[in-house]
Amino acid sequence: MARFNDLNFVAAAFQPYLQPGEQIRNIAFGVKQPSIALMIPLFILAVLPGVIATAMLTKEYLVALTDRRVIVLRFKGSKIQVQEVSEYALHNHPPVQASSGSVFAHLRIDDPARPFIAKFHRMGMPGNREQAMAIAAALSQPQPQPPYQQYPPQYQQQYQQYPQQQYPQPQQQSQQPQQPYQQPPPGRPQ
Amino acid sequence: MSYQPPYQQYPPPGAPGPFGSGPVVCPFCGGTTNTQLCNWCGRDTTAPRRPCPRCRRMVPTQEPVCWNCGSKFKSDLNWKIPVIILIFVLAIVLSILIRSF
Repeated sequence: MARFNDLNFVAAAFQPYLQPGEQIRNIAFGVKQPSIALMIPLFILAVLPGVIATAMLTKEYLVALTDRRVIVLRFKGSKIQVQEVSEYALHNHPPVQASSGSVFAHLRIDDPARPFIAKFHRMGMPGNREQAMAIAAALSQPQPQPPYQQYPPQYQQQYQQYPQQQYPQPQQQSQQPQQPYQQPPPGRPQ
Repeated sequence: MSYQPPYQQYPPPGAPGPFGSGPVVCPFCGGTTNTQLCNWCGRDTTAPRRPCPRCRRMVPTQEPVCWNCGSKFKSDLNWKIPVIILIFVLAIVLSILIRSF
């Protein structure tokens, strides 16, 4: 029943797309079926061809959560022939909607440039449901900003150029109250 | 005048970069960069990409032609939709034939 039984085999499919030192935390297998508005007429027209058409139009995804980002592989075949690779940064991700039902866990990333929606069957992989919800939870949580964004805007570009240097903190204003402006005494020449 | 890649200063290992720790390797040209746009090829390092079926190099999904070998990408729907239509036609014809005989 499960699409993949060997997690190491699935994790190996992500190795060419990882950055140096990047570690995988969770992997889940998901699918995106064609619209129900298309499936129902196909099934009404003919059941078996409708099933075949639905299977042909279904997209399969492998989603991996790493310590830096979320990588989405669209693939086909049992040997994970990768068709497309997408990624979403953890610290700057678009709005994410996640839900969990009795059979499927749903994940939706509302990125205007590269939207992603898939559902994860609990039998897709060992622990697929828990893995999918862990990915959704990681995407739903507000991530800390990268270090250079923690600096004031006038120092961010400088930090990106020279991140190894120590940056001066903005000078704090002296605690002494400023002397009020003293008007010159009347009658004195300006 | 030959092309000179722009000068870039590499941060020390483990230094924070745009993705949290250190520089990233551009998936298209293989160059190391600290910004989302590659300093070497100018492409977005986080853009959706697909492997070229001929040379296996990564190509942005928005580009219809492989930048390395020039091969054109073809959508799977180009052959899936005709096959699906053919299956439905066959099913309808078979059902008519079965009923007639």
